[in-house]
Amino acid sequence: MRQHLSVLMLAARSTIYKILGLFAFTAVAECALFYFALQKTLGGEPLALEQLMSESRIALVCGVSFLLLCALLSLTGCEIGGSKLRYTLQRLSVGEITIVFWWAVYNVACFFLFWALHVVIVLLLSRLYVARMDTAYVSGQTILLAFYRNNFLHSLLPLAETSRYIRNAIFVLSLGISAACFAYRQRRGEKVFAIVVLAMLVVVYFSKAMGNFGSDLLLSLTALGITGSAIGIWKGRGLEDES
Amino acid sequence: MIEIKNVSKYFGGKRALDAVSLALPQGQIVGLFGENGAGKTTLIKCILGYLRFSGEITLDGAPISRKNIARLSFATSEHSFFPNLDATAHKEFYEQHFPQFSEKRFRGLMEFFELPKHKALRHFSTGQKNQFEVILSLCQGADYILMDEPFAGNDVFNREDFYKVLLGILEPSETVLLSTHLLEEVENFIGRAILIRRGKIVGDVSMLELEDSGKCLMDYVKETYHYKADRVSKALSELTDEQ
Repeated sequence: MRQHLSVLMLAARSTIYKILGLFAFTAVAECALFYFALQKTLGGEPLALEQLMSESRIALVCGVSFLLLCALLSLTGCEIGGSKLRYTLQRLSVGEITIVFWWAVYNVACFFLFWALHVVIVLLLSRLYVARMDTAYVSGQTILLAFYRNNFLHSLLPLAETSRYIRNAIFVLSLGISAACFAYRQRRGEKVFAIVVLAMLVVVYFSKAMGNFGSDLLLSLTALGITGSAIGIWKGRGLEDES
Repeated sequence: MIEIKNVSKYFGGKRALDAVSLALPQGQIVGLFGENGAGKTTLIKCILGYLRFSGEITLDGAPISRKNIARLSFATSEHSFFPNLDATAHKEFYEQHFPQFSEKRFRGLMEFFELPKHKALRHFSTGQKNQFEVILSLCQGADYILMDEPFAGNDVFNREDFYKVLLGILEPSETVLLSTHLLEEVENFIGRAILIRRGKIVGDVSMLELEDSGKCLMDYVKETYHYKADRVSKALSELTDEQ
C-alpha cells in the first residue's frame, strides 16, 4: 500500500503548491471583484444578489481558473520537462495503469475541491451582500432566490435539482480521468485531446437554467463518451499495461 | 546473468537489431560501442522491456517483467527522473519502490557531486541532471546497471571523476553495461567491449585479451570496422585537385 500511496504523493508533490496558489489567487480575485461591485452598488442603484454576481464577473474568473487547473493536472506526468518519465514509471513495483488510476483519483479530488471552494466563496459573498445591503432590499430568502435565478450559482449549487448534482459529479469524474489519461497517452507519443474538449464543454455549458433535465442528461452522456474516448475503449484497445 | 538470444527489432520496415545474441554475467563492466544509429539504445531498451522485440531476453533464466525489473536500473541522457521533484523527494520515492535502495550510497554521491538536495531537478544544469540520473541508477540496489550515454553534456574532468567513483563503489556482484562514444575515456574502466554495427554484434572482446594481443581498444574498433586510415587524406587530395 505504501507504494500506491507514494504514487499518489508523486502527483501531489508535483502540483500541490501550484494548485493552492491558483485557488488562493482565484479566491482573492473573485472576492475583490465582488467587493468592488458591491461598493459600487451601495453608492448607486441597488442590484439584486444574482445581478451583482453577474456584474462582478465571478463566473469568468472561475472559468479561467478552471482551465488553468485542467492544464496543470493534465500536464502532470507528461514528458514535457525534458525527461522520459515512462522509463521510471514502467519500472516501478506498481503497474502504470495503477499509476493512472491513482492520478485520476488525485485529479478528481482537486476538481471536487475546486467546486467546493467556489461554493464556499459564493456563499460567503452572498452573506456579505446580505450584511452590507440595506434591509429594504434583502430578506431571509435573498440567497435562496439568487441560487434559483442565477444560472451560474444554480449550476454550482443546484439545491433540489438532483440531475444537476449528478451532471456535476460526472463532470468531476470525467475531468479527473481524462486528465490522467492525457498524460498516459502523451508519454506514448499519442495525441488524445479529450481533456481539452471536455474542459471546453464544461466552460461553455456549465451554467444552465434550472429544470433542464434533458440538457443535464445530454451533457452527462457526452462527458462520459469523451472520457471513454480518452481511455481508448472505443478503439478497442483500452489502457494496456506494457511492463 | 542476462541472456539475449536471437533478438531482432524492426522500426517500420527498418531493421534496428538483427539476431543479437549476448550474455552479460554478473560482476562485469561492459562497454557497448557503436556509431550513431548502430542499435545501442535499442538493445538497452529491449533489455528493459521498453520496446517489443522478437527473440528472448532472460534474467537468470526468467523473462524480464515487473517481478524482476528492480534488478535492473537505467541511466539515460534522455533522463528519467521527475523534473518537478527535488533530490530528497526522489530518494523517498525510490526507497518505496526499490527495497534495496542504498541511502548511504545516495548520500555519499550527492555530497561528492555537490548536488543540491532541495532544488527541483528542472532547475539543475545538464551536467547536474546527468549526474543525478546516474546516481539514481547506482543507488537502486540493482544487479545490472544499464547506462546509455549517461555523460553527454558533462565536462571531461567530471566524467573522469565519475569513472573513478564508479570503480570504487561497485560491488563485485554489480554489472554495468555502458553505452558510449567515448572509447578512449572508458578504455581503462571497462573489462569487456562489445561492438555493435547496423544492429549486429560485430565484436566482443575482453580487455585482458586485447592487452595480451598488444592492441588498444581503438585499434580493435578500427580493425573490426575495417577503418581505412587513408580515407581522409584521399578525400582531401581529391578535393584539392578539383579546386
